[in-house]
Amino acid sequence: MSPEQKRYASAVLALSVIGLACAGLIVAGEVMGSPERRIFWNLAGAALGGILIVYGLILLLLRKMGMIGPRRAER
Amino acid sequence: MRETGAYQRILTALQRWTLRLDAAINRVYPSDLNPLYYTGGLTNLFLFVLVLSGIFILFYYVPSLGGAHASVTFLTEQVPYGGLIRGIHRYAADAFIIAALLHLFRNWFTDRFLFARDSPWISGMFLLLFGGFVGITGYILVWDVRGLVVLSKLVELLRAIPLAGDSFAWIVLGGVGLSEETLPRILLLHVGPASAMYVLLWWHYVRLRHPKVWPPATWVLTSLGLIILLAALVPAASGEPAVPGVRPTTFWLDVFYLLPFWLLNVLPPFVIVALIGVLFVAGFAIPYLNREAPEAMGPRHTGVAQVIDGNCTGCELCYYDCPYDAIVMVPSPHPGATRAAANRKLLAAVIDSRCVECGICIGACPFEALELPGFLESDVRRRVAEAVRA
Amino acid sequence: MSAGAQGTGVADPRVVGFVCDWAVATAEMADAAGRLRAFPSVVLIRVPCSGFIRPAWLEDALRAGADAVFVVGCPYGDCLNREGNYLMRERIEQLQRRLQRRKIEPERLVMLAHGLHDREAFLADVAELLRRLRRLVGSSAAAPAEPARTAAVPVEGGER
Repeated sequence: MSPEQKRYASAVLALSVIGLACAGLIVAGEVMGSPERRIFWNLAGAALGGILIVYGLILLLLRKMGMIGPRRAER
Repeated sequence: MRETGAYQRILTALQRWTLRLDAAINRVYPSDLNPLYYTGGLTNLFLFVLVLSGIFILFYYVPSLGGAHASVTFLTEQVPYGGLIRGIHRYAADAFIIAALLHLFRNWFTDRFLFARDSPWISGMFLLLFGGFVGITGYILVWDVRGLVVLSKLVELLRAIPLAGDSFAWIVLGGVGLSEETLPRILLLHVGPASAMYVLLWWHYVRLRHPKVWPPATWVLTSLGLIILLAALVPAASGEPAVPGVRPTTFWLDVFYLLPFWLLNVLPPFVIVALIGVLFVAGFAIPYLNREAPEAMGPRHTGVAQVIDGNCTGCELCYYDCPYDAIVMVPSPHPGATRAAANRKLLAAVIDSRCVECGICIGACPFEALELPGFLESDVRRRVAEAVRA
Repeated sequence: MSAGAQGTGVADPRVVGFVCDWAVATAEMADAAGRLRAFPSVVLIRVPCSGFIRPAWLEDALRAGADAVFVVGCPYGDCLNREGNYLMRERIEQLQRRLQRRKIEPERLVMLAHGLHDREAFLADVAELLRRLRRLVGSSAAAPAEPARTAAVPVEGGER
């Protein structure tokens, strides 16, 4: 692994921790419940958005590491 | 095709800046992940998100003067994740129009309207018109004070259209004035044109082989995530319920959809209608106003590809590679004089109206059965020989 | 990298470059015949799209005596004709595999991608290509695994 790849790899690791935290937030919200649930719906939405962004960035970093190939011609 | 020099210069400068922006993004993203290369796919993605979230909202919406605002409030506050989905619908609409305008300007500035590409351009103008109208009716449907003002201003604009104006206003209102017929009308005018956009998209794609309908996965995830995050952090909210006759003095305007209504502050309705009309008609002219004179285009303007009947073996390679679906395989019409022609079942044929003169079929053909009239294979071979000999 | 590569007396490698007319603008850096001012042994031929190039032409150029051939397309994803540079990249990869069986090094066939105004990056890539070629030519001078040089014979003679 080149130093650059190592940096990307640690970034992927950090991002996946953030994604896991977002998923944990959703689960925690569901477990706690509350009569005033609206705030939880929005929190879950924010966490869901966070997960998707994190996944998108992980895909970008994997591509920069060379683990996902470039796009090919379609035919 | 002769333009004033000013238009050419401005377009060339805009192209330079567009490509400079591309180059800057390409330093961060690998170039085949550059989001500006996928503005069309992003637009389609946002449209798809709008349709899905719109179907969800449709189950809760009550199109009546008394019930509309309350049903939207119920959706936002009582339905699980209803407020989130409403926010997604709202922000995806903004993202849609931004991506669509980027798509338009990018394709304009980088000459992606030349030759047979006028058909996607014209369907694109209609898509933009429909998209803008769907956005405006969407703001009315919320039926808060802003919705009411937008409706009355829309009617004002429509009435300013000469001759047919009153009929258009009647169509939008479902009668001469505001009534219980109005909101079902607006709902129809929201959902109907939105569905019609998929018909227009068929026209938009019909000449493309493998259209890039979706952006790369990284951008699908990132843009969806941004919309959901925004919808959760800044929830979409209604204003006070609409009360016909009561006019607010100020309210927030969405610059992407409601700009014409803001202009009503400064310009009379007729001028705005005329402006929209002129912009729309001028948009149709863009693909026919070329940056360069045809004779100055050199290898970029080489004529429609021609099939050399005697060499075509019917192998279909050009048919698979043509990015514009301009090559069709037809049954080989006659026994043929050459060996290739005698043994083939199919013959390639170029649909002139679809060919963009790129020559990709020439590169695909290993049998020398295709030529660009302005750039023959013998020219290439001669120039290669000169280059090597020198 | 051998430091003395420049001084071994090896002539500058002859290179033919096919340049998409929508990709990097070369009018300012080449003369009327397409000869690059910075690297006079490189001759450019402008074509409508990188996808226009038949792999056979690249092969012919090598056979006729060029030390290397390169194709310049637009940045991947930005082809004006949507797929031209992707298709050309695949054709070049296929041709590299085919030529390798005939002991022609894949380094002699290069696909580049540069936008209209990326002339510095383009020139840097050409310089890099020439540097690698000098090393290649220098090393193969001892063991002649080169394609037969028939530079004197005009290419038109090889018409099928």
